[in-house]
This record gives sequence, structure tokens and C-alpha cells, in this order.
Amino acid sequence: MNGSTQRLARDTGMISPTKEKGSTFGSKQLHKIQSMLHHRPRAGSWGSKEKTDKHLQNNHGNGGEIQWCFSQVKGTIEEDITEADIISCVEFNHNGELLATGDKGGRVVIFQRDGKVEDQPHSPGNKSFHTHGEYNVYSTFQSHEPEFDYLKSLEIEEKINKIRWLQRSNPANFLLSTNDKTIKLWKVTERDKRAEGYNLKDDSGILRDPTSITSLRIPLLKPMELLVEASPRRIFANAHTYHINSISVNSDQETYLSADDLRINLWHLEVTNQSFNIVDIKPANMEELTEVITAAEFHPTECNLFVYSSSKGTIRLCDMRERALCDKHAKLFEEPEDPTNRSFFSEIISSISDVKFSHNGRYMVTRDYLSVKVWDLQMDSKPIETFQVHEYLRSKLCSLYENDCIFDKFECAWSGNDRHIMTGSYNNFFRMFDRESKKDVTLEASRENVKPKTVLKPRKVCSGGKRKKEEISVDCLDFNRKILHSAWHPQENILAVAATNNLYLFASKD
Amino acid sequence: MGQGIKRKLDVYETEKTPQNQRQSIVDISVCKLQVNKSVKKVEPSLLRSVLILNTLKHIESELRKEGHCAPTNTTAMDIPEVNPNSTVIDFLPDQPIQVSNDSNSATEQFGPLPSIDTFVGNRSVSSEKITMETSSFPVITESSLTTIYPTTLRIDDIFNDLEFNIADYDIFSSVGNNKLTPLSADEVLHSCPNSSSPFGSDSFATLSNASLSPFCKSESAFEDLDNIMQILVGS
Repeated sequence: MNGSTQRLARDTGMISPTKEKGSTFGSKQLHKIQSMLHHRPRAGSWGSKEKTDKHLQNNHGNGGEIQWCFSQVKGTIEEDITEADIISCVEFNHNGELLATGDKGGRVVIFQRDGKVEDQPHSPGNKSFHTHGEYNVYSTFQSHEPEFDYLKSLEIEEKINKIRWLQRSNPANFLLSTNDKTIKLWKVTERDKRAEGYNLKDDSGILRDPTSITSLRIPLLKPMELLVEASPRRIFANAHTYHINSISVNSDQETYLSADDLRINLWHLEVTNQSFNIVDIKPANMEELTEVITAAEFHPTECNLFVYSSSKGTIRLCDMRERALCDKHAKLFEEPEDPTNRSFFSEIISSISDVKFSHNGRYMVTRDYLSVKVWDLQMDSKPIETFQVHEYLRSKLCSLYENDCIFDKFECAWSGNDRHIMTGSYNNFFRMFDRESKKDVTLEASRENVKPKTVLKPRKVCSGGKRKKEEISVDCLDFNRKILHSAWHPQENILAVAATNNLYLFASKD
Repeated sequence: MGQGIKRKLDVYETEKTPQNQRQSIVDISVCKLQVNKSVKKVEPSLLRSVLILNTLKHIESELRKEGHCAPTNTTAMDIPEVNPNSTVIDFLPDQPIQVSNDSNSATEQFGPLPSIDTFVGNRSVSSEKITMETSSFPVITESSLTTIYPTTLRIDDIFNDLEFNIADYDIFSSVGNNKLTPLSADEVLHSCPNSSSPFGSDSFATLSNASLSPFCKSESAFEDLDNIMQILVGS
């Protein structure tokens, strides 16, 4: 069986790890297990690396504020970081049942949430599907490979820049993954039945001796161990001169956009040899280039609207109904610069690294280097809310410019009810903002805080003067441990936070 | 620079004078724009290059407002010479504007800013028509190249690293869209000993018209480039 499984892996690009006690999904293990038959690991079998948060008693009465607890961590505990294992994107699917991560090595790992079937509290005998399960590896595959551009004599990295899920319309799951130049549509399917009792072949695939066949039989479907397969269904290539930074699926689920530094293209999911250019900000003379596109996203419900953000801190809302080429925006969102905070780095820190629509489609949040801003789509003059992420870095901008940290692109995320916003920072800190109570908290993704059922302790950074006991000084922050990529479950309060090569899952206490 | 794990208070913070800080930012920026391809074989980030260039331009306009600079040619095509012996940036000989250069003076000199293409990798694949006027070609002299880069770099290293803006050819767009058998790295390198970038015949005419070109060295260069063109168009 080994031989045929190997062929299957190559053809479909499918690699799924078996459950191994204490195993991680680091690169070494992945390559070793290709020859084994794949099946989905059962819940709770991930070994000593994981500590799970069992379901707790309900905790109401905290005013809607979330108390975060550690749930799971995935990845190696080794100090040495393999570059290929660095996570480069994190994305939940539409019901939060699946969580996809992409890494610098071009791999995609999909986790699935296990549900436990339990008795309902008030009517024993009636079972309900308990959704507070853990996430376990569901499928792993190599999405992109490094390529070499012979004309420019440059490598094209296999790093996965973005993953976006399509909404399910059939039992298969589809996702788009992209590196700098090529977007791929992957189909992830499950197989839990196998036909047995063929006439011409026996169960191991060997042809039966025709003379031994004396009667016809009808093959029967028999259950088998769950097999998850991923196969590339479309490859959308050669449409981007510059590096792709965003992809976004339209609400019509038929089209999607891809954005690079200077252009945005519109694709139909069925058509790979054509794309429409809808935004082009490349000047005729490259010497005049002063602004690039940094992120783009379709509106969650209006299929004709999309936004794109720029390196100058502006966001443009475009309507595809107005014209084919959306160079002219319908709305320009820009906040006038605060003259008291001007510095040499004002423009760099105003560059927007991420833009995300709220679930209800009325707001969007943008992330620049030091803050997150919430904008009302009806008002383009200024944001309705601004939250400081790490203002203590403002006095350190020169050093951060020198060590390139000032160019780090942080992502941000909305909670399912659009009340909370989260974003990452340095030292494996991440920040949560409650728009209603105006409160914010700093938490840390660390293996030291892995006590189950315990609420995470808020962290604090002191910028100068007297350092209190639990605080950490700005100068002691580890700028190599940064949380750039994170995702919030679409409905529940579950956070997936990528800390370099580890994936942390946090859940609210209730 | 600054790749350490924990950061201590940086020395730049202690020098608070605006001119010192300005100068150090200029130095850092120029260093950052020098594409160090031996470290990374990947195309540098356009966002990063644009932001660094804009920071330099911002400082330049500030200096101009403060009256430190003589009027410059703002359609910047010249590349500022960086004298490796001092941290001052001079103008290129094209428009010789003499600015007094006291070694101890706090005044800074600033040349016209380079085109972003000088520092950023070649963006050749595009379907736009090029207007190959001589003016759109960055004038790069051998001497200016040696002063931009540290003198320890060999000229060959520089030429291998630099991708010139012969960009936006039609020929490359058609090449990029067709399914060509990719050349092996060896084939490309062997066919052009002086540079790793093939050039089209259109641009070559422009090259020969340009006042100074590092590639108009010898007849063999012409032949090599013709060879490359033939390989590319599959004739």
C-alpha cells in the first residue's frame, strides 16, 4: 500500500499527518510521515505539548467583557526556529469549524474543531453537539513551491501571504492561498467510505484472474478511516508584476480580487487565464511613485464595493458599478495629520498594514504602526475611534527604523459581534480593545501561561521612570517575537494567534 | 544592523540635535536602499523602498525650506554620489553645483533623489508601451557607481546586483505571457558575461545613445546581447 499512497500524495498534493503522541507539525515530522496512511487524529490525543481548557461553568455578569484563557498551543517548543515553520497567515472559515495557517515554507495546515456530543443540561437523553472542542490537525499540504524568475534572476518565495476560505456549497471545502505571484484554489475533501467488492480487482487493487470470476457482485460502500485530501483545482498565475499582498473573496462567492503593490485584479473563480484589472496606481514614470497599495478587501455584503489601503495612510472605497477601472474612488478616507506628532517617520508609521470590514459591513478597522482606527463608512473625514496599540514605541522610532521593525505589517481582527478588536504587538503581546467599554488589555502568548481554566494575566509596558513589579520596560521588549497574524472566530470568542512558529488558541472563560 | 534579540537604549536617542538625527536618518536610509542581493535573492519590497525614499525626500524638502540647498533639479534622475569618506551627499557632475563642503560644518548637502528603480529590482514584465526617451533612463556612470557603493565592492558585483530600468518593454511583456521554456541559470549567465540582465534591441539603441553606459564596453557585448535576444524570442 505504501507505493500507491506515495503516488496519491504527489498527484494530489495531499499530506496529512497521522496522530503521533508528542509529535509536532514541524517540517521534519511532516516529511517523514508521507508514507503512512493518513487519518484524522482524534480529539485530545495530541500528547504532552498541549494543555486543554475544559469547558467551564458559565460566567455571566461581567458586562460583556471577555476574560481570556489559554486553550491550546501548536508547534515546536525548540528554541531554534526553522525559517520554513514561521506562520505567515491565519484564517478561520465561515463557521469557525476550520482554521487554516500558512507558513514561510509554502505549506498550509488546516485544523478542525472537534465537537463533543453531550447531554443537554436540562434534558438528559437529548444530546446536543457541544461546540467547545479543541482544534486538531485536519489536513496539511504543500501549497506553493519556490520558483525562480529567470528574466530578473530573482527567487519567488513560496511563503503563503494570505489564505481565504470560500463559503461551503457542497461537502467539500475550498480555500484560496497565495504567495507573491500565484494564487491557487484548493479543494479539501473527506473520504470516509470505500467501495469494496469490485469484480475485476480485489481489495488490494490487484487484478483478479478472469477465470476465477464466476459470478458478478455489486461493490458495497464500507466505512473507512477518514481520509482528507487536498487538491489544487485552479491556478491563477502571471497576473501580477509586483508582490501580492491581499486576496479577498466577493460576497457573490464567484469572484475575488487580488492586490499587489500597484494593481488590483478581479478574477472569476472558474477562469484562470484572464483577470480584469480594476485598480492601477502605477505612474507612467516610476520615478514619480510615492504611494503603494498595502491591503484590499471586498465588502462583506455589497458585492460591488471594495476598499484598498495605501502606504500614505489613506483608504479608498471603490464601487465597481461606476466604471470598469476603479482608479477613481467613490470615497477617500483620510485623517488629517496631527501636527504635534510630526516626525521624520510620520509617513512610515501612517502606512496602513491591514484593513478589515466589520461583520455588519458598516465599519472598517485599519492598522497602522502605532494604532488601530475604526472608520464609519459613512464618514470619510476621520475615524470614529482610535486606539493606541503601543504608544511607548513612538520615542523609539529611529531605532525601529534602523532595525527595520518599523516596516512590520501587523494585522487586526474583529470579534464576531463587532464589539471587540484585536491586534498584535512585540514581545508576543497582543492587544484587545472593547469598543463599548473603551477598555483595552494587553495579553501575552507564551508557554508560561499555560495553566488551564486560569484567566490570562494582563501585561503592562512601562515607558520610563519607575518600573512597577509586574511591568516590563520598553527596552527589554523582544522585537524578534512579534505577533503579526491572528484571527478571531467568526461567531465565538476564540482567538488564533500566530507567534512566529507557534499557533496559540485562546478562548473566553465562558 | 540591529538584529539583536533584546534592544538596549539606542545610541541615536542620546544625540538629540535635529541635524544629527537628520544626518543619521539619511545615512541609514541610503544604506537601506542599497540592495544587498548576496543576503537575499528575492526582490526587495516595493513598499519598503517607497517609504524609505519618501523619508529621504521629506528630509530634502525640509533642508530646502531651511535654505541649506541650492536649487536642485527636482526631476531627479541623477544618483547622488555618496562619498565614502564623509557622510555628505554631493551632486552628480551632470549639473555641477558647487556647494561649500566644510568637513566640520553642520550644514548638509543633498543631491536630487534617485529614481526608485535604481534601488529596486527590475520590474520588466509589463504590458505597457515604453517611451524610450533618453531622459527616462537613469544616467549611471561608472565613477558614480563606485562612489555610491563601498569601494570594497568590485564593479562586477555592482553590475550583477543592479537591475536597470530598461523596464516596461513590449518584448518582455510578450515573452512573459508566452510559455517559454525557462532558460537555465547557466545559459543566461554564459550568454552574457558582463551582466545577468538581458537587453532588448530597442533599449540597446537607447543605451548606445545614452551619454554614458557601462555596457557599451566592447563589440563582444553587442554580440552577447544579440544572442540573448535570440534565445528569448526563440528564434
